[in-house]
Amino acid sequence: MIRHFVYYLQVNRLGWKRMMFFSKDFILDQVLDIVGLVLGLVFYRILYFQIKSSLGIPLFDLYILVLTVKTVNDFYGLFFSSNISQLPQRVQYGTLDHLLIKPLHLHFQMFCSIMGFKALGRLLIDIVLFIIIVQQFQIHVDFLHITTYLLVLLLALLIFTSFHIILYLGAIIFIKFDAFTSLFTSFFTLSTFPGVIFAQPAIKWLFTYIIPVLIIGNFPLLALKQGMTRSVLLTACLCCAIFLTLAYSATRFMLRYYKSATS
Amino acid sequence: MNNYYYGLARQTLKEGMAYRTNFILSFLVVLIPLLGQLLLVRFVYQNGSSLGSWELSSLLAYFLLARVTSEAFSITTWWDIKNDIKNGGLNNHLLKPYRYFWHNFTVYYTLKSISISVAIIITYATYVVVRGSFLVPIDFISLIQFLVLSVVAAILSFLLIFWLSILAFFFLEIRFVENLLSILLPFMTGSILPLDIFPGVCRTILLSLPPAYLVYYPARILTRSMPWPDFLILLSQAVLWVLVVWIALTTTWRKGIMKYEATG
Repeated sequence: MIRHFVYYLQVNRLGWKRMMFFSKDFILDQVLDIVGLVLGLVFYRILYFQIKSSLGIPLFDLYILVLTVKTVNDFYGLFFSSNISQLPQRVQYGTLDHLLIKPLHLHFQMFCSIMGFKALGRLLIDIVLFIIIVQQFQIHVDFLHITTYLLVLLLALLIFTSFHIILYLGAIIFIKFDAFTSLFTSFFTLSTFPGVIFAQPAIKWLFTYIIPVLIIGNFPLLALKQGMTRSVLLTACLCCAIFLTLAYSATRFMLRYYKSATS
Repeated sequence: MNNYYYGLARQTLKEGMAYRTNFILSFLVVLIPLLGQLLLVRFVYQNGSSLGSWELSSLLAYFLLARVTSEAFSITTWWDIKNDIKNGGLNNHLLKPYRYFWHNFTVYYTLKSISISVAIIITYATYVVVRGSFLVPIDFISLIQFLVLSVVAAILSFLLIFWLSILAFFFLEIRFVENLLSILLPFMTGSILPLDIFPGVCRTILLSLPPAYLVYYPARILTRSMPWPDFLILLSQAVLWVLVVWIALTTTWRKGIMKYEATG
């Protein structure tokens, strides 16, 4: 365990130094992030400006929804994305061997050994904006609601990560996988829409249990609004267990087909 | 010389067709967020609200058409031009007896013709599913106005692309500009929401900027034709933008060529 921790620190210290060296890149990335986030919020502001009614969904909820989805994405970017998104490249060029022969836990190396430091700045922006929005709308949020929100957010992050692991493992079988992964990951752009618009049960079911779009944004929002409700927690926990098991089994299964051949 | 551009288009088409699956998948990627927009708009109207003067059927059609027009007339940077400038490949083109601008125009729109065809087929299929009808209610005047405006939009779009790409003469890295455009343009073109529902000054500004002539106006005209006098004013404004961008482009090109060291 300590060995892993030391390795994690050493690898990421280099990453941190690299980011500091390219500090201009980092700052520009944060600027883009703020612009993107503001436009995401402006979308709902303009919509509400026109319809002049709340549609049964307060504007605050929609802002928090956008922010929650971004937070999950940024946590994923901070802890997992750098490793998982490299998987197709590692398979294609045979460099996955470098990980397989190291005396460290395989899943740790494949999925979470490198941090994406750019996401750290984005997370700080998320937290600041969250505080601003809560104060702006004068919403009373107690400790229990925040705890539940964070818990469901963590479950959403694990589900989101597991889904991406399962998706990217396909690179072991299929060559030129980029367009296919882009197609599936693009479904998560639907996370920023309120769950009520997915009225049909089949669509709701699809976007909860197969492509967990609704869990990423709408579930943490429900947790923040309603507190510790059994249905939200139970569904989130169940989905998390299923997706984690699937990701774990899929990794073990798919690695059997890894040929270690370069192209 | 026309034979050269014809041959170039044929060759590019053959190359482009080799990646047709990629074109289909990449268009589906941009179509998925549209599903959210369509469902949201339907939800708004089901709750008795409306967006500006838009009827639900027109708005749904607008979103689908805007997706096709944004595929056809986008603003981005063209990697061929950037690479030529960065790696010194521009030398080859400057020595040959053709116009570098028209060479890239031919390659760009030949490749675009494949992605536009894919976009039209997928969007039509989506329309049939969403509306439950095979007939698209586009009147003849709308179609004529759309085609005329499209010619100007195609030129304006490529002038902007060419202009942004030759900024590589002056900057080593223009990724920030590309990323910023990819975030701002869906809003500025009217792909996310029709520009006429934006509030006050914001609407006036956005409606008069070039991106509006590439997506919003063509898509809007197809859903609702304009009176001819209004259309002619709109067309003249678009032509004016073409002239402005062309002047900016030729100035930048001249300065860029002076600065270009042909190394790479």
